Amino acid sequence: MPHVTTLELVQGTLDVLVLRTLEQGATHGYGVSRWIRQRTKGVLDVQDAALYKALRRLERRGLVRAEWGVSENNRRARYYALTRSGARQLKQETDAWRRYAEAVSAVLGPQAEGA
Amino acid sequence: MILPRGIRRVVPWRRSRERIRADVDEEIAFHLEMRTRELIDQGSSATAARQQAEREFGNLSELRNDLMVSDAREDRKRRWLEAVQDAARDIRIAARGLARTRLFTGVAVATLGLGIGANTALFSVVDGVVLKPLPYTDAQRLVTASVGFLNAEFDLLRERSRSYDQLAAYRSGQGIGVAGIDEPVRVTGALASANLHATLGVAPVHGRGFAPEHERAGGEPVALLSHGLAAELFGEPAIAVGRTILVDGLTRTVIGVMAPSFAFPNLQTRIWLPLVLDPANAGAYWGVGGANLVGRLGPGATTEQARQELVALAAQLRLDNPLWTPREPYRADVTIEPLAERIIGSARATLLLLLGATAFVLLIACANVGNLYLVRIAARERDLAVRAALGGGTGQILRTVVLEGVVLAVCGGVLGLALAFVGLRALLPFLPADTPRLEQVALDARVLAFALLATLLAALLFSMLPVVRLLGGGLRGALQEGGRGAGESRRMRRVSRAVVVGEMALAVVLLLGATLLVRSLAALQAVDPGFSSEGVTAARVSAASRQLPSADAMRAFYARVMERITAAPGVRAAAVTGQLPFDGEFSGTAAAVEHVTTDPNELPTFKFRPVSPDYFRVLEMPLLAGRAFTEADRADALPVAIIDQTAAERFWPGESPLGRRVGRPWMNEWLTIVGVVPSVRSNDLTVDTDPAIYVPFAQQPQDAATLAIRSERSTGELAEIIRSAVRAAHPDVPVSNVRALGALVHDSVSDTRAVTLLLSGFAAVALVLGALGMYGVLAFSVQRRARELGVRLALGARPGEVRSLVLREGALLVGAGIALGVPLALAVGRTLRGLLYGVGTTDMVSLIAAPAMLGLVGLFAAFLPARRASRVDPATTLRGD
Repeated sequence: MPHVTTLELVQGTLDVLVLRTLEQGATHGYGVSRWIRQRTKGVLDVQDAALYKALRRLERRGLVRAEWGVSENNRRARYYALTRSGARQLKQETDAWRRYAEAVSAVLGPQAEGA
Repeated sequence: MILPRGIRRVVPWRRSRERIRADVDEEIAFHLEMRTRELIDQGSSATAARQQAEREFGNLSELRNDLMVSDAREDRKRRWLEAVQDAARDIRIAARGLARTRLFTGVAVATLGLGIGANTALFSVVDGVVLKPLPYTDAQRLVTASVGFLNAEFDLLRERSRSYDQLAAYRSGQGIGVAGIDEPVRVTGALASANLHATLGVAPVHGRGFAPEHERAGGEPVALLSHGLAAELFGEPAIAVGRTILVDGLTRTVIGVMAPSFAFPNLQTRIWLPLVLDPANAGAYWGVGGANLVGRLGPGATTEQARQELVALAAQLRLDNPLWTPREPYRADVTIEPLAERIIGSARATLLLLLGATAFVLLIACANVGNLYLVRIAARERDLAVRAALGGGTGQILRTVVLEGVVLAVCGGVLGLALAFVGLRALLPFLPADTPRLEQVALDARVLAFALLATLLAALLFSMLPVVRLLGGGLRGALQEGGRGAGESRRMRRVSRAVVVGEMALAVVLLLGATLLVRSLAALQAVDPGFSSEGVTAARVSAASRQLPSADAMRAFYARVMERITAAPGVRAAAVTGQLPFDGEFSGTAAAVEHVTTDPNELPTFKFRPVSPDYFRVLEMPLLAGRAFTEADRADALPVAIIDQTAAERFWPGESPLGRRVGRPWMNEWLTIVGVVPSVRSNDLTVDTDPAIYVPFAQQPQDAATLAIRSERSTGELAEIIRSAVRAAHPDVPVSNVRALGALVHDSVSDTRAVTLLLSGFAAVALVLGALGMYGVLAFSVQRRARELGVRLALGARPGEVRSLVLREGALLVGAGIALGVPLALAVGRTLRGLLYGVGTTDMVSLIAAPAMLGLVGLFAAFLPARRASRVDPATTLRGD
């Protein structure tokens, strides 16, 4: 496995990632963890403890709803789903991120092209 | 992604701590297991996979704790929310149920509203007048003495006593003329020692208070104004400071304006002048009394210590007096009491009495609504029983009953608050005019809290009846009893009747109280004051000694005034006097009776009244002996007097007093008696007055005096005539209190009248509610027994027999209520003793009239259901099943 630099997560980024994951549909904590790992190809170092804390934080803010259900392999598991205000929040944060990323790319642009 | 199949709520919402811990552990375990399996599938060894899964997690035990805390919080939040939603749902159900039965709800809410409204309005008065602390700094340290002191005594007590942080004095109720701005006015004011406001801990809102030099002779003449008076005189209170006004003819500078809330010693006081203490002027220093003490007790000092110290100091002061040596024991029975006690005084007993009466009304209202509610629940009993049997649970049903009760009570409470808001404005003018601290009365947070409490108490009280019944087997019984005819259990009838009997008993108490007061008022109004007030108008003319500096000036001034008034058309007779009966306080004068009683320590006190010749004609007082005064009784003629019958009978029983002498020999005054007139009451119809001495106004003129005018013209017309006559004689002398003398006499019993009116009103409400309760119970009973009554009628009973069956039941209830109520009323009636005149608390007429009234109304209430019972159609009721 080639060595890849892992990046520390910027505060608040994890929450957006979790919301984005749940936009696919309700899933359990492990499902969220797996999806983030696969999508970021391990570049982002997400600790599972931080992930679960983020889920609770989002639940408290009413952006995520938790319910117990039964998993694919018939195990009892806690499922998380996006609430309506969670979806709204995700859209806002995504737009903000896009603008932020565009601004940063615009500054870093020439050098990155040259590389 | 589609939701996985089988997602459902597995866990009930009520979760213990253990449950939360297990859930957190299960969630983490599930994650670790899934990740481990995934890594094994990717080729790791079992051990390595497990280790990596745990490493990816980070600090596991800390996470576990965090999640538990967070889940417990979420859980609590959810449970609370669900409880609120449940309650909201139940309240909605209750409200819908109540909305379906408009008549029941309307009657219940109106009844409760009346009860709660009356209580709330009266509580706000009691709270403002009696309960709230005085609006002064640390008011519970303020005390006052039971008697007034000489100016000198106060001055020296202030210097010598150690019990107080501050000791101040005031003399209230001074009629003070204020002029120099607009039309001269007469206001009530108080003389205050310089430290009075500081002792109370209250500073003026504008300007400053008195300084020590203001109470010394030759000090700058100053005045403090009430907010209201300053606004009246100057438009804007703030600009009053520094302005000058003419106070009783002396120019004074306004140095301060008090806050609108400042009302010491009472609301009527609108101006404060310094009490002048001048040791050089022994006559005023040692000869003028009536200074009320206000002390702020020092740290650790008690009222008892202060009293002992005061008695000890008074013993020294007795000997310091240069004018005369008062007899021993001197001021030994003086007491020191909290200032609040003095100010609130007798108002407390009256107000608590009225509050007690409204509490009775609320109790009766609750009993009525309770009975109605009982009937309502009984009608739904089978429905409720079925629900209980189907698993609704008794708890759920009781919850419904109590919640319905609470919704009813809250509606009643809201209506009650509205009624109290309106009623309070209507109530205030009815309260005795001298009730202290009425300015403190308001519908504030304390009153709202009281209304809430009364509401919840009412809900508890009247929900209790159906709850007790349901718990006592009503639910089980309802299912077993089955059919409609047998539906009414004996137990419920007993409870309903007991409640009605209780209502009747409470109504008897209120009725008896009201009857006693009405009889007392009638007795009061029948008292002959000794003079005819009809057609007589009184007016105060408040000339100050500076305006009329000599006896000649006084004579001339009043002669000019009287000349103009008697010349006015429609005036039949007019007189001038010191002060008229029922027009304020009379000061008594000690006088000697020649050859009867001349010991200076045992001189009798007389009412002393300078009057002009026509005085007895104006008041239509017949001469019992001798002659009236004439214009010939001038200043330079023989000093004469007319005495009243009381004096004649006391000092010369069986003899003629004519030619005998009374007077004040220490002032070189002996007055020869030339006539005898009837005794009159003064200020208070209930009290026999001291003996009276009348002297010719011309021989003993006064600066401030009162006019009495007999005329067929209205008081308003006369007021104009009087004002122009006085203005013509002196432009700065104020005329005030132009009133019909009859109104003054009428007003002297306004306290009794007010309490009588209010209590009678409450008794009437109680009577109506009691009758309604009686009607409700009997009507319901007739409805329930329609079948039985129908059978009786079918079997040949005459309608009259059926009617008397129901009437007998009603009579039984009324009789039991009276039997229970009369002893209770006798016990409670004793609290009225202080308010009654000419009637004992065990007055036979009242003891018969009050129950008779209840009996009549009760039987009338029973008559309507009785008539219906006799008209039951046997065919209809028998076919009913």
